[in-house]
Parts: sequence; structure tokens; C-alpha cells
Amino acid sequence: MNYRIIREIMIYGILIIFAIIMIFPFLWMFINSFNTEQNIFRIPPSFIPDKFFKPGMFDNYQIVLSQYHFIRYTFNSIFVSFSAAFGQIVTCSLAGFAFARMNFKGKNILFGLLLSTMMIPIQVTIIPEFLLMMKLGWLDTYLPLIVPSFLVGSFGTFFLKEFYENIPRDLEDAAIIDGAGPFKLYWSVFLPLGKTPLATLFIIAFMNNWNALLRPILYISSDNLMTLPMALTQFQSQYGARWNLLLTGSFLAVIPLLIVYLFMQKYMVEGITHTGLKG
Amino acid sequence: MPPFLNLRGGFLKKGLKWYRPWHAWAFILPALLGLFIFRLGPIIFALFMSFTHWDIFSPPEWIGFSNYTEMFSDPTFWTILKNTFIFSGIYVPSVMVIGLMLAVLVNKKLHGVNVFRAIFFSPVVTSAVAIGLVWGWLLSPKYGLLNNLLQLFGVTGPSWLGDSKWALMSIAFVMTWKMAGYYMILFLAGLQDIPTVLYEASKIDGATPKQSFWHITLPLLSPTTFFVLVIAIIDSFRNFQIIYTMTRGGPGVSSTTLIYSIYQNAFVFYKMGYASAIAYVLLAIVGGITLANFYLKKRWVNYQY
Amino acid sequence: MKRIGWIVLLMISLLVFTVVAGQVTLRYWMWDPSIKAKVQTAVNKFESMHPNIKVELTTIEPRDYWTKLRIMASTSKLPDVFNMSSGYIEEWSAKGLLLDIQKYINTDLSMSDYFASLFNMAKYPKNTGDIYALPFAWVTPVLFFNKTAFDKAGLSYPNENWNWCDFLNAAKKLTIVENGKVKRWGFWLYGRYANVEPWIYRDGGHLLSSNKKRFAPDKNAIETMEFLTKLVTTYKVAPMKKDMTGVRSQDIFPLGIAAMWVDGSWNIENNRSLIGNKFKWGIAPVPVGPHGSKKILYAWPDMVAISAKTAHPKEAWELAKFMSGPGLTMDMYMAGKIPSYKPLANSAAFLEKGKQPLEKGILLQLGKDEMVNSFTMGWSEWRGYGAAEGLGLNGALDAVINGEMTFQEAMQKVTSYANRVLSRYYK
Repeated sequence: MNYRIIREIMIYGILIIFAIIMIFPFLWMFINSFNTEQNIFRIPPSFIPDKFFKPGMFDNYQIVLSQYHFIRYTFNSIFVSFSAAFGQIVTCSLAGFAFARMNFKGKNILFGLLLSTMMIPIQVTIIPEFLLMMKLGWLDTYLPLIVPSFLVGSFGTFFLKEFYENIPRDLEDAAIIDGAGPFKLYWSVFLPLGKTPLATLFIIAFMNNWNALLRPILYISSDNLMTLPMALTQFQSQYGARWNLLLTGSFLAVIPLLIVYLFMQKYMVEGITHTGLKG
Repeated sequence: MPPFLNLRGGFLKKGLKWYRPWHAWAFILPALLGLFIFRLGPIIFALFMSFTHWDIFSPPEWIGFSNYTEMFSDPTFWTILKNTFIFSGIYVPSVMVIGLMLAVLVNKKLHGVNVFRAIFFSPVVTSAVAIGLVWGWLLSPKYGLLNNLLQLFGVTGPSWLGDSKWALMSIAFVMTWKMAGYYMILFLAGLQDIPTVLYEASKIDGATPKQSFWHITLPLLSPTTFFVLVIAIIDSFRNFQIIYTMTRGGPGVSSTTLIYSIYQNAFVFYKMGYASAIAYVLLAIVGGITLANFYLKKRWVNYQY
Repeated sequence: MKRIGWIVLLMISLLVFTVVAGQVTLRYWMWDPSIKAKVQTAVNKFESMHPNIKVELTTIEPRDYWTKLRIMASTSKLPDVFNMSSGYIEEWSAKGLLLDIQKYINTDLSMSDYFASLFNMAKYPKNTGDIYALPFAWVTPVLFFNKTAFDKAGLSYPNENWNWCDFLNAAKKLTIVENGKVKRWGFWLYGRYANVEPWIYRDGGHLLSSNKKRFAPDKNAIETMEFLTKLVTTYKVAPMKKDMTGVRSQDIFPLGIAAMWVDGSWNIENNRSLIGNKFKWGIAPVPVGPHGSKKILYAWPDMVAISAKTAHPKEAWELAKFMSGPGLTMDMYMAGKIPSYKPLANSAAFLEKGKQPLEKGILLQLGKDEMVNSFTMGWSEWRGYGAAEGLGLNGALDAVINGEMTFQEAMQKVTSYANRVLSRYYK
């Protein structure tokens, strides 16, 4: 009995130490959202913000939320990131399933091509991509932000392929014997069993899209289409930035991400019960 | 199970296929569309660009292999290449080990483990600006927490970000810190795929946690580990943002990696052709390493079934 | 019934068409999102003065502004009017992307309303050709000094007659060492253009060859750069750059870590914000070197330019002229940026009496001097600016300051590097 308790305490201890190391900058960002601009760059930094529990504590929040169309930007970001992430899990689960369980001509080459798209930096592909979007007439719309993410997904396909290759064949066999075609197999066996990786992929795709800056800045011009991180760059000016607002904005921008993350935890259920092992 | 039902290769030994070729193409159609329309076009264009001189304003000017010869005869390039390898050499093992460790820690049914999961994930989503400022301060030689702590033990720490001997390593460390949570959730997904039955059975057999980790967890985790390895390697070559916020590639080029140099050449010097050439060298390296990984896969990755 | 409906529709659309046909829409891009609301106010005023012109305002923060603008240029979709910097004007006018506005200036602008020497920096070819952009603001590096620290050390404040001896003497007295550790430095600098160039020009030096196409620092320039690096390595009145990481370079003076600093006048705003009432501070001209004179000023303008391919040059000219001064108000200028339009610069609003620095007026005095700078095509690359700070002259001087290279070594390396860069642009 004792051993177990000691072990639990040790684990909590390690968790807490790591937690402190990990959350430090995030905490700093949060604390500074209650600071005046003057106080942010003190050396050494003070961890007690100017405005804590004083009148005007939420000044920064007030300015950020009202002066800049924060709600609209948040909505834009949510819409874009959600669509892109949703598209990813659809496209990548379909493709991942095919690569894992089916054989077809040129399979390896195609997979290699897919993977190689991750290895070319965006800095050299962005201009040709921009020219393409211009030809398609997609400038200043959501489309360049959603559709490529919707459809591509080398990371996602690779990720899900590895998972699907690991799914127990006996379940698969059973379904096939029952006469299931590929789509039914995909829908009723692989998708349900792959809930955790799917949720993980959703988070990652959502996050990547949420934090993306280069594409929104290049493609979006209208104020009412701006995404949140892009809007935050408005706090930067030629020779400086309004740091108190920038940090407040950055903090607010992270909140939806964390909400999505916590929400997805529900699907990251521990342990998968398999119906019987081989042999 | 009836012996004649062997489902390897998609059809039963008796010749029963459960899918047709067109099914396969239908499944990968969305991904293919995206690949060919949105990704391959720009990538091939970039290849073409690498043989030109293009400052974005004027039409590209064909110069053959000049960009490549210029690159390979520039000693700075080789320094940058070396930095890139050093960075990846530090980052990849570190982030895999720490990511796995965190995943194992939060894979337990402890109270409030979800809170810890969120906390460990928070650096991944914290803005680069905030990370640059906070870590910049933490690693500041005179005013930073780290050196002040070291001072208590009588050690005078160097300028972690300002000294050309330490800058690259410090950035690798900060990026490890930032991304550990990301790899944690990847490993978590893999850990949760391991049937708990196996752990229970081994416990009955008297295995210690350590033994079950090495003999059950790690082997069965190998598909995920493989995936994480490939992704971490690719990821390690994409460290532009962190370098930009912490050191701008300095001092000198001591913390400049290939991708940072690509950014400089593309968006600061407007040498698009040269930047594309560097990008293709990067592709060759990363692609080569990944290919090698896939060949070696059979040697150590076991699928469960 | 239906036919009448169609006729009405036709008539309405004809009406709308005639109204719209006279309408001109201009796209105006600027790089300072933080003052967007104020600029919008100015734009609204312009629109009310010119009812047939509508202006679409876009603001993009500086780092991405140039990338996006360049892409627009390459696809022939440049905005009609946009901000142009001294660093890029040569390249953009050389490529024929900017509208030659000389004829508009000759007929429609009185140069005496502006700080005239700024226009030289908007000419292509440099100093001799036609004007391609209108300056709306300018800046110059000044010597920031901590008055409270000076008082404590019993030193008299810097003035326009200060030379290097006066400066070094003060810096030594202002450097406080306790138990072998420096508690406060006399000065702070690194290889950055705003820290180095002003000293070079005040010593009668030049970084570029006389045709401005090659990197060829003359004797005075070398003397200056060596003096500056010695401040760290030999005289020890300024810290090594690597010891100051983790603190932003523009915060070192206002945080009281160093008692003097030479950098752009735009830092007045950051100084005010961080210093508050903690100590008194002021500005003075950059000290004069042994071979220099007071009458040379390292300065440069921010400008507004018109696209060469604009469909509405006359209307674009009206907007550009408006945005170069007449339509602006002082609250659109960051403290320390000086309007190029004299009525604004000479207004009481500029002097900001009662706010630090008390000597803000000397900026106007300095505006009477001969203005020079050393921007060229490819400047960021050979000078080492922004994302390329580790390279070029900046990187070289930093290496000397950090004790990683000797001055001679650094000069050799940077000369060949800079000339390689410059020869790409200037055959």
C-alpha cells in the first residue's frame, strides 16, 4: 500500500515540476495582460502586474475586445481552422485507410510525393502558390486558407496510415466475411477504432491553421476577413509595438485553442478494448 | 479462424477481393486533388526557380546551375549546413525522449491529469513572440534566472543566446521545450492503442513497471515511434520562427540553419532563385534521411497483428 | 407590369452608372497599423474634400508589408499610393515601378513648405534625377543622455560642440564599477546602422565609394568604427553585445543600464513610456569627430509614392500630396519622428512643451543641416539589418565588440562580402 502512495506522490511531484517549467511563458503572457506598457520590460521582470486588483484591471482587455473587431476575427479564425481541420480528418482518414490496407499502382511513389510536400519550405512555394490563387480568383477570400489544408495533409495521411496498419485484422476479417465493401469497412471498423488518432489529428490541424500567419497576411486584405493572429500584428508598428495589448491579444488568441484541446480530450479515451487476441 | 482465409494483400487465398482498384483511387482522390493542384505545382515551379535568378520584380532569368555552384563554393553555406545537422542532432532525440516521458506520465488515471496534459501542451500554442521574450529573459547572461541560479553554485554561466558557441544549442533546447507537448500527444495516441490486457497479464506474471515498459510498451509503440521519428526529423529542419524571435540567426551565422537562410534569401535579399536552390538541397537531405528511415523500418517496427 | 419593371431597372442602373463612372477609387497602403484609426480620419477628410474620389485604406505591419508589396508589384497589382522607405526607393524607381512626380511637384507643390534637402533622397538617379516620392516624415539619430546621472557625476550636459574627447571623458565618469562588476555603463552600442553611421558622418567619413556603388570606407570611417569598437574592448565604457541579450536593445538606455546612447529620434516614444519619471533625460546632437564638422546630418525620410501604372495619376497625386503633410496631424507621428511639412513641424504640438526631452526643438535645428545617408540597393544585405543582423557590417562590428575578431580581420571580411553583394546590384 505504502509503495503505491509514494509512487503516486513522486509522479505528482515530477508532473508539477514539469508543469511549472512548461507553463512559465504562458503565465507571463497572462500576467502581462494586466500590466501597463511601462511595466512589461522591467529588469528583472516583475511578476506582480501593475493593474492587478486595481481599477482599470481589465483595461487592456477592454481595448483589445472593443477597438479591434476581436469577436469578428475570432469567428473568422474559428470558421477557417475548423473547416480546415475537419477537411483534414476526412481526407486523411480516407487516404490513410487506402495506403494502409489497399494496394494500387504507384502507391509508394504517391506516398513519397505526399511526404515530400512537407519537406519544401513554404518560403519558396508561397509565391507560385499566390500566383495560382490569383489566377483562380481566390484572393481576399477564405478559400486559400481552407481548401489546400482541406485537401492535402501529408502529415495526417502518414499519421493515420501508421495507425490503420496497426488495427487488428480479426475485426477486419470478420467484417469482410460479412460481405462489407471498402467503404463500410472504413466507416464501421477503422473510423471508430481510430478515434484517438483522429482527435489528435484534429487538434494538430486546427492548431496549425489557427496559428498560421503567412497565408492570411498575403491572401486577406479586407478587415472583416482577418484571422485572429493576423489581426494581432496590427499592434505592431514601424518601430515598436503596443506590448500590453499584443500580449493580451496573444493570450486571448490561445484560449479557443485550449478549449478545442480540452474538448478533444473526451475522444482520447485510454485503452482500447479489443475483442480477443489472435491465437 | 478458418485456415483458408488469409487476408494479406487484400484478397483471400481463394481469390476473393474485398475491393476493386477503383475503390483505392476513390479513397485517395481528395488527397490527390490537393496534392496535384495545390502542392505539386508550386513545388515544381520552385525547382524551376532554383535554376534562375529572380528578384520577384523582373521575370526570372535562366542561369543554369549557378545558384548551386555559388552555394557549394560559399564557406558560409557549409557552416549553416553543419549548424542544421547539429541542431537536428540535439533536437530530435531530446524531443522524442521528453515527449515519450511526458506521455507515459499523463497516460495514467490520475486526478487532474487532463489539466497537466493541457499545461504540457500550452508551450506548443503559446505565441512565438511571448516565448522569445520570456526565454530571452530567462537566458539573459546578467539578468536572467538561469545564470542567477547558477551563480548560487558559483558557476558563471555564458551568454546563452549571445555567444556563438552556445546560441545554437540554446535554441535547440528552447524548441525542444516548446514542442515536447506536441510529441507527447502523438505518443499518447500510440500508448492508448496498446491493449491494457497485456499489462494486466504481465503483472500477474510478476513483471515490474520497468520491465513492462521495455518489453511491452516500447515494442508495441514502435509504429508510433517510427512515425514520431520521421516527423521529428522533418520538423527539426523547420525551425525558422524560433530562430527569428530569439537570435535572428546570430551572432554571425552561428545560429543560422538552412531554413533561416532560405527565409533571408527569399524575403530579405530577394534572391528567390538562390533560396529555391537551398530549399532543394534541404529537400534532398530530408528526403534522403526519410527514405533511409523507411527502408530500415522493417528492422525494428512491429505491428501488433 | 413586367416590362415596366425592366425599364425602371434599366433607368436606375443607367443613373447609377453615370454617378459611378465619375467615381475614382484609389488604393492606399501604409505600414503603421497602430495609427490606422487616425489615418482613416485623414482619409475621410480627403474624401470630403474630393467627393469623386474614394480611398481604400490598408495597413500592414512592416515586416510583411514589403513581402506583400513586392508580390503585388510582380503581379502588376500595386496599390495606387503607398508608403516607400529610403532603403528601397532606389530599387523601386530603378525598376520603373514608381511614378515620376517631378512635373507635379514643379507645378503643384511649394518645396519651401518642406525640409527641402529631404527631396534629394527621393530622387532617381540619386541626388540628381527626378523626384519619385514625397517625404512625409524624417528621422535622425541623436545622443540620448541621462541628465540625472550627469548631475550625480558632476558633468555638464552634452551640447552641439561636443567632440569625442568630451564624450569619452563623460562616458568614463559615468561608468560605475563596484566590486569588479559594472553597475552602470557610460554608453551602449552595437553594430547597428543607427548606432554607427551618425558618428561616421560627423567625422567627415563615408562608407561608400564616391559613386555610391561599392563599399569603401575611407580613413575617417575606419577611424570612427575603430573608436566605437574600442569603447567596448579598450575603454570599457560600453558592454559587449552578448552580455546584453534578453534585454531589448532599445530598452537599455531607458532602463538606466547605460547613461548615454546614440540611436534614432523615434526612440523618444519608447523612452517616455519606460522611463516615466524615474530620471531626467535629454537629447543632443551626435558628437563631432576630429575630422568632421557640425553641418552634416545622417538622416532619412519616410515617403509616400505613386505606382507608375496607376490608372488615376492626377487623383493619386492629390492623395499623395495630402498625405505628405497638409492632411496630417501631429498625433499621427510617433514622438521623435519629424514631419517633413514645415507648418506641422513648427507647430507647438511638435515641441510638446513639458514633456521630456525638453530639447526636442534641436531636431528642427538639425533639420537645417545637410542631410546624407548611405542606403543603396541591397542595403539590408550588406549592412546586416533585421533578419540579417548577424551578417554584413552589423555582424562584423558585433564580432569585434564581442571580442571574437580583431577589427582589421572584420573589416577585411566585410569589405569583400559587401562588395560581392553590391556588385550584384550595380554592375
